[in-house]
This record gives sequence, structure tokens and C-alpha cells, in this order.
Amino acid sequence: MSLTSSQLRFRARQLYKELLYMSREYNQGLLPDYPIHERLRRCFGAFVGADDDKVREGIKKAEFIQKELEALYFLRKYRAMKRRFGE
Amino acid sequence: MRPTNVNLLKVLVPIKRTIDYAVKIRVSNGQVETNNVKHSMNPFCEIAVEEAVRLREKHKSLITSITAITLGPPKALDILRTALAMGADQAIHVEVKEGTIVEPLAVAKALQKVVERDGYDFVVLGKQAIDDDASQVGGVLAGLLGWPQANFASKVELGDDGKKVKVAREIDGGLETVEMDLPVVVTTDLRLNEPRYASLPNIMKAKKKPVEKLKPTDLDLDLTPRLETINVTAPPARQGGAKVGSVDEVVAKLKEAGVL
Repeated sequence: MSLTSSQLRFRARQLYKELLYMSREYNQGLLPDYPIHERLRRCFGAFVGADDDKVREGIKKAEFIQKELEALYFLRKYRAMKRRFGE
Repeated sequence: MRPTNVNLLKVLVPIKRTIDYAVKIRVSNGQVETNNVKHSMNPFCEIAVEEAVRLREKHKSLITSITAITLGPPKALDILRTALAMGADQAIHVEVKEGTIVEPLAVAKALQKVVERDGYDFVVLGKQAIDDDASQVGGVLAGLLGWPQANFASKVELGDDGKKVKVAREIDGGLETVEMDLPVVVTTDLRLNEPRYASLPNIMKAKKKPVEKLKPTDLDLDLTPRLETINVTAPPARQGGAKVGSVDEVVAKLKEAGVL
């Protein structure tokens, strides 16, 4: 568990970069485009200058969303492949 | 001194760069449009990489290295990085010019040369590519090498001594389990495993892993196509159906169509 406040913020910035990378695959040609980049900025922007406990909560939420996105991407691909190549 | 385990296996995972599965394919001038279209690793190849990594996680003392290999244009380096991020140790990139037609037979011959050069024991690859659906490389490679093969694997079990492998294959009507002596070729089916996501920190770490660049001439490869594509057309557009109000209408329409 991160202890110092600067370590927490470092982790938060790390998570922002990772979610930014993951969010590129979100829309996949769906129209209208879900404004995922904007939403990401807004979510992280709410924590600017917040105290350590809030940042800890935010980190937990960001890690949860990371896992949700990974599951979403896998399921989308699996279901598409199953529809095309399944019996 | 502990005796070393002599049966150290080297795993080779051939992968392919294809148009991303989610992209809507457009056909123009009798060809599929590939310019400025998102490309990524073939989904079945991802399953193959994942299987190699999982086997190593299960049998740490048996498997020494996992090598990913691809034949493709310079941009194919991206999918090699993805494979390295998923857990492969090193990669081989046989670089061809952008736009070169590489047929499954040429791929299998290249893989045969690499296997004989480096001495791999276990080759695991996707059952088919989503762009050409050829499903040939696995079988042709096994034939060229004279190795046993198990295609459409839905479960792979490596023996603890590293000499045998048991594979459950998906066939019409159920599962067929085969047991083979290594070295083998295995092609993966959809239900084999769930490939892990190549996260950003892993992609960064993968940039440090070695990628060997080869030219087709280094492998004495003849890439001339044996097949000529005469035409590619998109399937006919779907025609909308008609909504009916009641069961009687359904029956009437079926009688009209001559089905009842």
C-alpha cells in the first residue's frame, strides 16, 4: 500500500496513463463516439489537490475500471469470434 | 549439485498481423482496403501466445524460452511487441516489403527453416487467420517437419517429463483427445484460454526484449505466390425484412412464399 502522498500521486498518474492507453480501444467504430477521453480527464480532474484518503479511494476505483475494461475487451472479442467461427 | 533437467523445451509461437476483428471491411477495385485500417494480432494467434505463456507458468522447469515469430511488413513489429508484452521472451521478425503477398505455404516453409535452425520442440499457432481463413500453416508445417500435429486444440496438457503432450481437439460431435510425443505442432481453437490484456507497463518492458530481424533471403525463401486472386467482392447487402401484425399474417406470407 502506498504510504507517502507523493507515491500516491505517482500511482494515480501511472493509472491515468494506463487508462489513456486502454481507452483507445473503447469505441471501435461505434457511432456516436463515446467521449471516453473527456470522461477520463474529468474523472481524474476531480481528484486534483485532494487529500490522501480521497486519492487512495480514487486509485481503487481506477484499478477497478481497468479490470472492467479488460473484461469488456475480452468478452467483445470472444463473442465476435464465437459468432463468426462457432458452430 | 542438482542434476539439470535435460528436457528443456523451446517453444515457438508464429503469429500474424491481420486487420483488426472489429473493423468493417471495405472492398474496392476487387481488393480489400488495407490502407489506414487498424491492424492487430490475429485473435487465434493471441490464444496461442497465451497458451505458451500459461504452459510456462505451469511447467517453469521444463520450458526455457518462448519465441514469437512473424512474417510481415515493418509494421508487424507492433504485434511482436504485443506478444513480448504478453510473456514471450524474444521475437523473430522476417521482414517483407509492405504489400507483398505471403501465402501460407511460404510461411510454413519459413517456419520449417527457423525450427531446423534453432531446434524448437513445441510449435503452437492459431488455427486460422481471420483475413484469409486458410487454416493451412499448422498442417503444412507439421507435414514439412514430419511432426505429429493436433489442430483445434481446446485443452493442452504437457507431461511432467516434457516428453509427451495430451491435447483435446474440438471436432464435429465432441472432443477427441490425442497423446503425442514431442516435438509437436498444435493449433489453437477459440475455447483454449482467455488471452491476457497487454497492458501499457508490459508493453514498455517488452521494448527491451530482443527482436531478431531476418530477410526472406536469409532463409532461402521463395515468396512467389502460387495462387492468383481473380476478384474479391463484398457480400450482397442485407435486405430488410417486413414486420407482420398477427399470426394469420405470418401464415399467409408463408403460404405466399410457397413454404406452407
